[in-house]
Amino acid sequence: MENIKIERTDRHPEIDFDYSTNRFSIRGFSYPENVKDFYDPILGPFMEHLNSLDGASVNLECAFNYFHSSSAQVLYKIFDAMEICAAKGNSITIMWGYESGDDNMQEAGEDFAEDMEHVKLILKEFEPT
Amino acid sequence: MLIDKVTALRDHMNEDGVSFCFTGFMTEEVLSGIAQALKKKLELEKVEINTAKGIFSIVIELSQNIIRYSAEHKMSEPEHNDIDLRYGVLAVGHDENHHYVVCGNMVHKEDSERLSNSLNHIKGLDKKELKALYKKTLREGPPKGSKGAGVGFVEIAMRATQGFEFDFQENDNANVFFALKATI
Repeated sequence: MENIKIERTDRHPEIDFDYSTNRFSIRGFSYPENVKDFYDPILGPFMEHLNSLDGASVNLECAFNYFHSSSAQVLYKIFDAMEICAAKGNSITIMWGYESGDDNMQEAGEDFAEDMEHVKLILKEFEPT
Repeated sequence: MLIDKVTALRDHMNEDGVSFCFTGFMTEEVLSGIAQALKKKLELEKVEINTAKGIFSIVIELSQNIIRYSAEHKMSEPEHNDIDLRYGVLAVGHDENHHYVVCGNMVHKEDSERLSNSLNHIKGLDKKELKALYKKTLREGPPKGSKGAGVGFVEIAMRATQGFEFDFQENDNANVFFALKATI
């Protein structure tokens, strides 16, 4: 898989997907004009990659300042796929970043953690940007 | 008189504590501009982070709602670009105690009952039930006719710490005017 790097804008997050090291990160605001146009080209190869893994160690960092409800749907897709990947024996860690004081984002992370059985989700506070 | 009309409009907005108001054709570009200006204003006024994020989130969801669903729109001829402009009202302000976001747009008569039922249902849910509905809808996919994730109003209900109200008004045979106010 080819690595993906996309700079952040006001409306979409920075994407840094390194397939050679299995380290992935999504950081910033997420309310793209068209969710499908932005996320589909990123998600396609990523899902395919997760499906192909065997005994791998994967690290995903999500540090959102904000994501809108259509982006939330994308996150559920990613996390569901990661849970399946982890259930097959891969070691998956999600670092869930939230701005200090952002209760909603912290709770979202806690809820995701509660829902996942095989993925290890670690909450991490970051300074407001 | 021009000056009277403009100052009357301004005074009317001022009295209601409105800091942003947009009436017209809402586009993604307009939303980008409003969102950036709103973010700066919330920072400038050092609004508490959860309140600020709540206002921001509701503005995004309601604006996209107008862009996707307003029944009052102008479309280009099919052979031209797919321009589709949707008309609506969006206002952000502060009354004596709380921040609020107001939106208004036309909806098709046949959709208004479904929208009303759905909003009444959401209004009756507590935080835990809202979260459960949010998750369920995101996992099972959007309901028929939805152009987004179908959870915009659930998101608004979760963010509107002081609740929300809504109303409909008959307009003509085809459309009904829909208005919603969320308070944070």
